[in-house]
Amino acid sequence: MRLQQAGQLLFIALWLLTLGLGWQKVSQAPAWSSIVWSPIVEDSVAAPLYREQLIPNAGQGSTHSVSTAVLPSGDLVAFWFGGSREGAKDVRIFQSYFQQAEHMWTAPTAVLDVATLSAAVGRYIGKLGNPLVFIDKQQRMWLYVVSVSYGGWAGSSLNVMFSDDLGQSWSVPKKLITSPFINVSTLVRNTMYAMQDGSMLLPVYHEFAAQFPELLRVSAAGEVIEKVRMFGHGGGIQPSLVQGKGREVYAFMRSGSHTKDWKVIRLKSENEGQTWQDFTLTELPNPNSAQIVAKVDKNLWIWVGNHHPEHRQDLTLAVTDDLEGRWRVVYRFEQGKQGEAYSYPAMVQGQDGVWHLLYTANRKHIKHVQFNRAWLAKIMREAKP
Amino acid sequence: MTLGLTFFLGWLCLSWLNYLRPEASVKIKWVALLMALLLMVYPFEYSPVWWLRGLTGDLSVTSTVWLALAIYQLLTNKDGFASRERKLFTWGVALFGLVFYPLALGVGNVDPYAWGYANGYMLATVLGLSAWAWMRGFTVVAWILILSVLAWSLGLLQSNNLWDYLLDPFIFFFALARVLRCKA
Repeated sequence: MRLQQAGQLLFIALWLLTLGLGWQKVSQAPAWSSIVWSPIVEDSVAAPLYREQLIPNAGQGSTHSVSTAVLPSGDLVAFWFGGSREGAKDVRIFQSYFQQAEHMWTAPTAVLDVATLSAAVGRYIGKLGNPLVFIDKQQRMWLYVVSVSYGGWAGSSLNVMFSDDLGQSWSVPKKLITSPFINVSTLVRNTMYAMQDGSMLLPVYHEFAAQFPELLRVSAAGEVIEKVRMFGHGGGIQPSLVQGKGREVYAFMRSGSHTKDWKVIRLKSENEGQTWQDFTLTELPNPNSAQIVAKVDKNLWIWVGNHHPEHRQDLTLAVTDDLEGRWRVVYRFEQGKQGEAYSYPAMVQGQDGVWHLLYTANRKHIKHVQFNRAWLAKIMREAKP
Repeated sequence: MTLGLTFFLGWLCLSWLNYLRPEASVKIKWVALLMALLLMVYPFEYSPVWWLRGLTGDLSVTSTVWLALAIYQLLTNKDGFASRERKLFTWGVALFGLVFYPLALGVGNVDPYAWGYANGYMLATVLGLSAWAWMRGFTVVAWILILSVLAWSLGLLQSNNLWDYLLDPFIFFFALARVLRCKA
């Protein structure tokens, strides 16, 4: 009897303690915030500028999925995965810096491999995938890396590591839990965005039973604190977010193998990404390949991707003055032959206003193209209407 | 925290011992259990737990408590779960999982998994259920719910989502299998 009473008292005490702790956690959760868009920088050079170069290959048989960011010095940093082939156990995450003054990329160095990640997250890891770099306003570098323990990319999960010295040294990687079914399947591709309250908005996508885009809201410490399903009725992966004319947000997405529409998909949010609507198949063709959109002027946006429903031979630049309107193809960065592939563009504007486009060239190299607003104006004039 | 997987391997060893030597004494069972855990959990890297964790991730508090009760039963031949409560638990987990997992994995626009991040309604529901279960005499269910919320509040698993403390696919499939075999 006395034991039963003690058990009851213990339960009540623990229930009240749990209520207090749980309520404390709930009340500390921040309300939804607004996205801090990077300001558009004016060109420092009035003459058209267009330059191409390759990032040195560190001897990897295959390189893919580059991600880039601008350092506080104005230099760039890029990360990609490379190894004997995509999905091989020897794939590592490579890092290189672009030194603006010399117009040169440093020799790539490996920052993460399967064994290191495996030991850090305390579990078997089979392969590494897409990296994603971001530098926050405290100049802390975030590096997300997709990993798979068993099976294909549908079994992916995310890991994050930080650098307080802009990529010279790294924290121990941490596994993010983002899905209820043995933590599959969350992947990253396009960049994340800072929010006004210090949290981050990370576009991700799911491709286990169905393919769909999602947003993870991540605290300044890297904890997942909120999740938004952008569109759950099939299709649309690798969202690239862009600001419209006002505070509206648009997401442009790769078609994904589940849609089979082979068009870039567009969604719209009127409340800073908290909810999404207006699912639209744009006129831009897409062969189930990564693409990216950026705002380059008050009323001008650019899109880079494979402008073909079946192959990745071309890499195309299209422009629009209305994100819900028509896109005009103005330039082909690549027009490859059959069997060639130019894909997975990443794009960022430098502190001097020059745009930097990096992409996979035939899985052998990461290519870097620089262009400025004056060059863009020139090719827009020259292109057929 | 790999407590759930550790319990799973312990339960596996004891079940195997029970199968080979049903007459084994409690003392032998304890020794076998401790030895198995030492061999399988340590050294941490390259241990069976390490490999298994790559596949399964951490088990939920619900699975962990269930496995602890299963080990208790194997060691003592006493059932930690009253049959009425076991039935409620099994049916509850199976039916709930049948709705939850399809929605969470992409059927439609509603994602119940998203409610697991610091949602006051979800917290109130789970704690309310635990109080109800306690008052109805379903003490194990009540403890499972309260321990899940407590572990979530303290961040004992890697996840920040309450659902990962309450449910995992293994306890769901286990419960579903029992329901389908009418062994609930």
